[in-house]
Amino acid sequence: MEEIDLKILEMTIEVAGESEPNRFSTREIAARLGISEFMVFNHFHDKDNLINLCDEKAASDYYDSVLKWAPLCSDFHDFFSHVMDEHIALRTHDAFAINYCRVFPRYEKASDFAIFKANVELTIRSVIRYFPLAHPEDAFALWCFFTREFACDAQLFIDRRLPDTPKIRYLMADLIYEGFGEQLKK
Amino acid sequence: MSRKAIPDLEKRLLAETISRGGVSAANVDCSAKDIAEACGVSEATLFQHFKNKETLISRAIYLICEEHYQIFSAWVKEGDTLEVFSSRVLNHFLSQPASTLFLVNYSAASSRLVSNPETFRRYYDFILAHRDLLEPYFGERTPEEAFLLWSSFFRRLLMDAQFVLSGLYSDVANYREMSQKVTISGIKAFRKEGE
Repeated sequence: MEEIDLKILEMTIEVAGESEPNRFSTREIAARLGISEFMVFNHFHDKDNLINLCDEKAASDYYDSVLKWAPLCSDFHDFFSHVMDEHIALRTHDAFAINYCRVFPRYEKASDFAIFKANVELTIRSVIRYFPLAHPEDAFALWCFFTREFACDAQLFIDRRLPDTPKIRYLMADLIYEGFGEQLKK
Repeated sequence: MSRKAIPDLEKRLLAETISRGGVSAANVDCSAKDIAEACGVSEATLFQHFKNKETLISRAIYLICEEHYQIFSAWVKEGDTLEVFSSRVLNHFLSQPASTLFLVNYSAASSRLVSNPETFRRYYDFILAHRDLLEPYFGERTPEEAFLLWSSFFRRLLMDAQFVLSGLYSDVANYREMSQKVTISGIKAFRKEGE
């Protein structure tokens, strides 16, 4: 992939994360990069293709982080925090994921949901040995749950809507791993 | 917060917005003009009542939250356990597909308001003003913890409801059971014994 292609993808991730889902402007992307809108379409043909490639890129960065930290961390909280650090550093990826990633439900089942599921299951196969499940058939739904919660939590930090403190991070990880059971009044 | 009576036209415009799942939202291609016309008024009239699209959405979210608070707090007062309460909330979301989709599209619980800090602030303030709702389960918390517990709890149930409503899971009974476990007990409940 050419350098300009990567730049267009990164800028699309940024702009599409700032706008409402499916409302981003290719003119805005081109203007921020100082190129013509024609060049965006010349390299990526249409908006759907552009978004799909952005989705692949954002997912790939996220999967890389998960696969990197899963074998290195002693527990789930440690894993959560390391992946969170890398995810926050990418900043624009999170809002994009919330707008476009298939782990967030939409009005109806996406036409490419089966492809998305197959890609996720491929990643799950690599990571599941570190998080062995009693019922592996639940892995996909649990992955969607984890990623959704993780993305929403990350956005609260990125937008500075909650202070990024060890205590808040611990609570976020706890709510995913232990659920609300551990938070009940004793 | 004092509750002012909402004029009839505003009520109809808000109801129309909610019933369509939003205005030009992620899954809805519906304009402010469509909403106004469905209520028999012009777009200009709509914007006389609501400064802009953000205000319309923000007011609609607030309206749903108020309704939910009335319904949910009655269940809490009946002494529901968290398991029973979450199951009733999930059923409620499933029975109200339009407002569920609307909240999934817009509410701060789903972190979708990345570009709308004003609406987020209203939602945050609403939670803090009504945090007594979940206090019987979680006790008194700092504002940040109360916000996190509240938004995470309702987000999970909202998303789960929308997953079922959008047909992503064919085995709904199994998914509901898992959703309940994930919400209440977390991923740990799914781990192999001895790991």
